[in-house]
Amino acid sequence: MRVPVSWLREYVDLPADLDADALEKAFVRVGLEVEEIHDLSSTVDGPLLVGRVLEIEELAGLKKPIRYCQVDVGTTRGIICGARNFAVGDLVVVALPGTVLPGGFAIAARKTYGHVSDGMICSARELGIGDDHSGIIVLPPDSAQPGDPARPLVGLDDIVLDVEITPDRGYCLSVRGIARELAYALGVDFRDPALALAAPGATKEPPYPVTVEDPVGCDRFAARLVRGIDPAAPSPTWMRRRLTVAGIRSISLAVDITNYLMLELGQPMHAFDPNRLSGPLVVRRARPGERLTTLDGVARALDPEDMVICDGTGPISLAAVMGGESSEMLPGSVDVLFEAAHWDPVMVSRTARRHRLLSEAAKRWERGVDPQTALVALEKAVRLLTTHAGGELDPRILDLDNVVPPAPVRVPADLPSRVAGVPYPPERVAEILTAIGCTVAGAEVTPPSWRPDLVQPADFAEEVVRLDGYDKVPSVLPVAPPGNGLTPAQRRKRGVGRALAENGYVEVLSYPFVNPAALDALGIPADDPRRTTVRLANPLSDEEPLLRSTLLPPLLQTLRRNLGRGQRDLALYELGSVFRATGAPGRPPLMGVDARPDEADLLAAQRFVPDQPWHVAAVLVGEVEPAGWWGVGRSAGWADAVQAARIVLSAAGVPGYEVRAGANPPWHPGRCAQIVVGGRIVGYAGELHPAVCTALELPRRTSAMELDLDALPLPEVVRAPRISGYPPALIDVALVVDAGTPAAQVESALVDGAGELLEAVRLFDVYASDQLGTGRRSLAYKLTFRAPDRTLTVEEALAARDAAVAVAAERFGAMLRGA
Amino acid sequence: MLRRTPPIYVVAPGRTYRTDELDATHTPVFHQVEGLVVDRGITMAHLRGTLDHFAKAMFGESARTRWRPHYFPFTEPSAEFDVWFPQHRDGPRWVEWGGCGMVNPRVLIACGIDPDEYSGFAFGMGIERTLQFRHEAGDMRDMVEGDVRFTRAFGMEV
Repeated sequence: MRVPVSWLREYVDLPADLDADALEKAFVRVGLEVEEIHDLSSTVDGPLLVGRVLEIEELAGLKKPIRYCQVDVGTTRGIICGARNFAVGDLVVVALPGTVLPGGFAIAARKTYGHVSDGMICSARELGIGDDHSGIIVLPPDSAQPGDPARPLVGLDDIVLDVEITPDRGYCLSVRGIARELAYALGVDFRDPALALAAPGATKEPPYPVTVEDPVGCDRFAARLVRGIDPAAPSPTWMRRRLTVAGIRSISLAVDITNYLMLELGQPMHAFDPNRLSGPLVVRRARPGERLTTLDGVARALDPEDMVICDGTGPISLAAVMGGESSEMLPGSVDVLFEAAHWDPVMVSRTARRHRLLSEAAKRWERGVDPQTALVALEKAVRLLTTHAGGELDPRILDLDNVVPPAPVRVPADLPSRVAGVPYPPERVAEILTAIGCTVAGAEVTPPSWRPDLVQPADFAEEVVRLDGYDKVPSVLPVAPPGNGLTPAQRRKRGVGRALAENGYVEVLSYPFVNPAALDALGIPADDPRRTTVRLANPLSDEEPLLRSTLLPPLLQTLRRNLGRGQRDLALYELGSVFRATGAPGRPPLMGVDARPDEADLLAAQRFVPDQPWHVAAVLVGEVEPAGWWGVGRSAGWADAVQAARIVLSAAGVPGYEVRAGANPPWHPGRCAQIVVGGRIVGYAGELHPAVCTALELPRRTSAMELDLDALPLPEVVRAPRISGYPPALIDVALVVDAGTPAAQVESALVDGAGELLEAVRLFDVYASDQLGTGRRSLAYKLTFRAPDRTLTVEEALAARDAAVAVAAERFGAMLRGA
Repeated sequence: MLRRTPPIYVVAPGRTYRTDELDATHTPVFHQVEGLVVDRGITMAHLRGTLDHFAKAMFGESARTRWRPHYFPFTEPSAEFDVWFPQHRDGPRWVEWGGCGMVNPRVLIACGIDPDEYSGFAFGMGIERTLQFRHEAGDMRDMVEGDVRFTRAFGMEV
């Protein structure tokens, strides 16, 4: 909320020398954030004086009327002016040459229309203090002497504060509330504008007949009537200026008064033209199918939860949020019915959101408005109106009051001390609570009408700590009980990240949002599980409404960004969760907050939470080993992606896994490996399909791997191996198999066949030749046999070898080469 | 709190989302270190002590902190915690590091914990903000874009 300091000064005794910095510190202490401080004296630079118009010469023969004026600003100056709303003898605001107006507009003495214009007579808009550009500012007669500084007369000596109000402090959306908080912060006196004048209560007869059918939605409805005002009477300049500062447009006197009092007291009001109402008013919920055209010209379908004010024609106002067109004040309206009511904050909040009408009024209602300001606001309104526009005040007052006064809350005197860790004496607690308007009777504390946020004991404790000062709370480090450290899964994530980084990969953290087309670009088929995506209800960008189901799309985007910035050799990795929709039918159960939800509800709710397995992915492009004086470099390829997977599996402590030939988009068939742990595919590694590289504008042979870390079993406790001190028996075997038979599977066959004596097996040569036959190749393995308790005989070792070869022969038709 | 019984002392880094536009000081997807303590006799002094300790660990022994009353629905009282940022490009100033407060008794009740027996505090400090203060990283976009020149400068620091 934007508020000028001069307005606050009316209700709080601010020190005369209070500067912007001290003000900001004061607000910070009580928890109001000052977003911006505008020192208006600095918006106009240079001499700005009061002038008296001595002579006006109308210049003839020009396209538009122009005046050449003699103006007394202490000395007499000739000034050209295009406005016509002033006469000889009027006091005006003159910017002398050398003045710089808002927007960097510098005033200089210059020749125009045949005369030297030695300054400028200013309008409100030119000074940046209003929108009015229909004429120049004419100051009230006798308000100053020619040559006086003009700044104080037009409010250009003021400081405007833009104060951020937290949602709990609705009462601070008013000069009344901000002045109150400032008084607390500075320890100075506060005069409550809501108590500044006596407001008469309801009379027997109302000025206009009103029925409230729903006292829950509307627990107070008050109104007063003024007839026969001068409809042309303008709003006083000071009022317009304050509205402008707050960002509210001046409309007409009656409407301006309602907005002015909303700013001052926090009480939103409405001005009806009673001559445009047909019959008594009824305040009720909207009926299905009812419609209303609000002041912004939008025809709205009403919801049965909305509160409306109706006359004989149906709804004429969307209560608490925005008035309707049919009953608004018109330029010629001579009678005014002011309404000041109190509405249910929850209803207003929902209505405002439903209709997307977060008006200034709605903003205050949903945060809580003092139900006791209605009559004061009406009294002020009718006084302002009759002062400035005449008219006859109807003595009758309507006040349908169903307000339930706030109930006392039990606040133990030691509660604030227990919350803050500061020993507040009981009398200090009572003093602070009384200062903020509470009635304190022992431990029974009744909040004031303007603090609907004070509900539970902790709310009152906070007020004590806040006003005594958060900065007085000491700093005490608690002693935490010994913890368990990181969980195995957490340790694994860190270990995997560290291992990849140590191997030259750079970590990136991408946004998890993707465009549906990203999955198309990867060639992922329609029935793939990665298509089971979670769609956001309110995406940050409509372009990217899905949560990632694989880490690759955002990671490849980051890869491309780096390539675009001139990098050539890149190895990136990302650790993060992916999201898979559960597709659970129905809706999660609504759980109360009065107690812990029962287990069944918690489990039922959990079914609606998407699966979020933790993945790791790596991508490579360019050279993994650079070229240099030592020779050529080596380009990254599918084997490096597989190696990245091996690094992860090793760091994750997965003892046994298989790397098999696989096929899965976006990888290139034939250059794609699937990683299998315990019979389950946990991920893929290899080169991206050339079509994917083309679609994503990536270099050919860009390689990638992605593993589901959550699918990797946590390592079990290792059984210590029995180390044999006896010598090994080394036997090489060369097996001729079909060229398409994967070497890893042949190796598995050898392991299965060799039995317990086999200690190690390693592929050391692959050989193909015409002698072996077309489509055949030779795989040479080095087998290491050893027994735990004896030196193996040659016969034992050969028997084990034969058993190994036999299984390979059985599974793949392998022939022992040279046998 | 639904799954454990007090005493609870938890620190959890994680991702958070806001409807902010990406610019030099904001990112809609960022990270916070969330802290939660629920035990007997926990006060705001313990919260402040914990955050002061954390600030010193991150920014050095000379780190200056302050807190301001604020509002969060899940804590009461609530505060925003600021760190003095001498290298700010617009001149030295307090900059918000994160939000904190005493766990709202209603939250304890909703988790089946007796607020008359237990109290607690909670905080969420911005990790990207921490990086900005600690390393004078001027532009938050650098942390989001994944440019290897930015990341490599940090080496293996964890």
